[in-house]
Amino acid sequence: MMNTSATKDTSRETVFDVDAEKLAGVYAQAALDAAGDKEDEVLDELQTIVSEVLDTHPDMEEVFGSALVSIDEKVEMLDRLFGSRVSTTTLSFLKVLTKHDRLGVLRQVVRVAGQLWERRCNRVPVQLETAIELDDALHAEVVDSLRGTLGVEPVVTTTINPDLIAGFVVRVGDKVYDASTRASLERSRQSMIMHAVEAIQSSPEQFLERSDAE
Amino acid sequence: MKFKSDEISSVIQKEIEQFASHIDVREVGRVLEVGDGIAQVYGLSDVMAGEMVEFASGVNGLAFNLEENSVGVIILGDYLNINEGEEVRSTGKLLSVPVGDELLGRVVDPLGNPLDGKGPIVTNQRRDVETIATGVAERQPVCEPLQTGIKAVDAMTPVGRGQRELIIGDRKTGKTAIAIDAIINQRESGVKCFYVAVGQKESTIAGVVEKLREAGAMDYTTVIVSAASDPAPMQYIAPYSGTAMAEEYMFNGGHALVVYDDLSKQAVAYRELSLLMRRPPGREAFPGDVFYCHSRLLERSSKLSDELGGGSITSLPIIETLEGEVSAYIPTNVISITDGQIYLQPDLFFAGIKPAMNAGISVSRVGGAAQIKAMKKVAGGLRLDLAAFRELEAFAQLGTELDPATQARLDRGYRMVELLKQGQYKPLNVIDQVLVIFAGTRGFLDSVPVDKVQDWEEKFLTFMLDQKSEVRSELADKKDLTDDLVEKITACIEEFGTQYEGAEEPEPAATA
Repeated sequence: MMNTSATKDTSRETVFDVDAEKLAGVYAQAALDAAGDKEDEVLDELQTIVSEVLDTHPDMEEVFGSALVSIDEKVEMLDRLFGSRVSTTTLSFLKVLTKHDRLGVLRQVVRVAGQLWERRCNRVPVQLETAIELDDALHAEVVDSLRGTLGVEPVVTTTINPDLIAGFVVRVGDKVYDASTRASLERSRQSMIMHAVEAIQSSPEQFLERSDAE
Repeated sequence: MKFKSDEISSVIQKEIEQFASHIDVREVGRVLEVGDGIAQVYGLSDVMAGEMVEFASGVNGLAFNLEENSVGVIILGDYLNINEGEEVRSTGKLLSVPVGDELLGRVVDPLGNPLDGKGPIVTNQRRDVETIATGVAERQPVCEPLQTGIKAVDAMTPVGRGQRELIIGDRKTGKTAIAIDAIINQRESGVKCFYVAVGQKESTIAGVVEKLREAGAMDYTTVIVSAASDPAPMQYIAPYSGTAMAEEYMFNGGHALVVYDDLSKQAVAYRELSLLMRRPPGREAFPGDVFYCHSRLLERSSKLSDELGGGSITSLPIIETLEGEVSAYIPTNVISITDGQIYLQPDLFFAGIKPAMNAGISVSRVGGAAQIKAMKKVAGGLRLDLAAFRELEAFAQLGTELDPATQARLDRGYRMVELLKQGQYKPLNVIDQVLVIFAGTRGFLDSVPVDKVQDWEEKFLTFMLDQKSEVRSELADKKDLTDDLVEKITACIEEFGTQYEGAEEPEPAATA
């Protein structure tokens, strides 16, 4: 699982190599910093390379990651491929990656750079889970209130989960705000058990009646 | 008595009325990989080391390794139901177990869940499994004896309340038997007992529970079970949860005895966890902090100061050695942590000397403070005498002619060894122990043939109980050997000697 994720990135968030992710973060930050004012432009070019080159030509990705192709050959290949098509910053960044023998993690770098860019633009990905489908007005209201409480621009992805019964669950990064009926019911179940046990312990006699009194 | 269900429903009704809805905020992560009782979790950025986490399937875990990009979690429960990608939430709580009188007589797992099919344990008292041991100011030196009921132990390596006495020896040398006898002997002392079984066969544990039940010891004993088939995390935490249950009594002024059977298996479980978590291995592949694993556990056994109620936890950790190798890693560690050790030797065991305690290298660093005065007086030089006898015995086997003084010492030694033999599940009252050891060390047994010593002992104790109970109760009251009492006991022994027909046909002392 770990090995394949180093070369093939998938959308599942649990399938990735934590070390490659860390590495990608360093390069992503450097790429955005080097781009200066043209961050969005560079990012756009990088994302295009991933979608147009890596996704359509899987062999290319193997070449990029392969140790059999020498660094010099890879640099020449990059010149021929992207020389006149992308900005100099993007090309230099690709060459730096190559010289450090990290062209294989390009896909992760681009994804992390995208996340980093969102964060710099004060945009935060938010997963919203609801029990029923929200109409547009309600959805806008939820987004508005999220914007108010979080103080950032939420990028909302919505999923429907009837198991929640009612209410909603919002996930921002590692934090989950659960306002669903499912959670409330579970919480009240726990406290009922706890208080019943407490009551039985503190005064057991109130739960028992003498058989001779019957 | 009948159960009133309407009362229960009124409690629940009150609960519903008071229920207020509020948003539940939690910290979550996702399972990256899971297996062998551990999980790697991505996320949980604010989780703390040792914090309890909850998997979506309801199983609990402990944050064990905090790494740069992920969290290593040990899973306390069935890890086969946990899937990759599952949500994990931090609870902000530490692992705790139920404590209190409800647990007495029960067989539970290391999380306090009952295993004996006797219904749920109804209590809301809980205690943290991992706590920091009390400091110097909160303690006092060990001063009260904890009678194990075993002559050899109580006379030569006495155990005091709050002491940690290691029982060490090869497999099948009677380590567990000593601990079980010590538990059985607490019937009248009011000491609550906790038997923590780690990494043992379930059939062996069932046997121990049955023996305790037969002896009536389950009334004041809790058995904490993490068998060989349980995952390593359970075996690792079992001793800590047993101690947490015992601490409930200690901090309320009571006394508790904890038996850890055995800590070498716990160390192996901890090694397994650490290696799976990719912690670097050290000597014998154990992680570097395996010493801390045992020291923080055994430091929790203590005798509290009088201001804190004077409660105590006595612990009897057990360590199994391989081929008598006491200088292996775990045995040396635990020997250095404990206040003494009872060393059991296979060759003594096979020679029929049970308990097979080697008097020479068994020690108790608390010593006389943990003995009643009478025992201190009769057993003072016993340990050294026996050790000297063992040396002399080896020498005598060369077959050389011995002078009468040496022969006399040898004869006394054979009789003392015979006297210190004791059957399993037959703990002896300390007063009886004083009486027989008095007879042995003062030479009253020299005229009794070696093979009759045990018979003599049995009949003598019956004689003292039936015919000389006033002397016996005087000793029990004073717990000291005054000159007057010494005379009375001597007179009793002499009187019994005339009755005992075994002494009438003196045989030449048997030399091995």
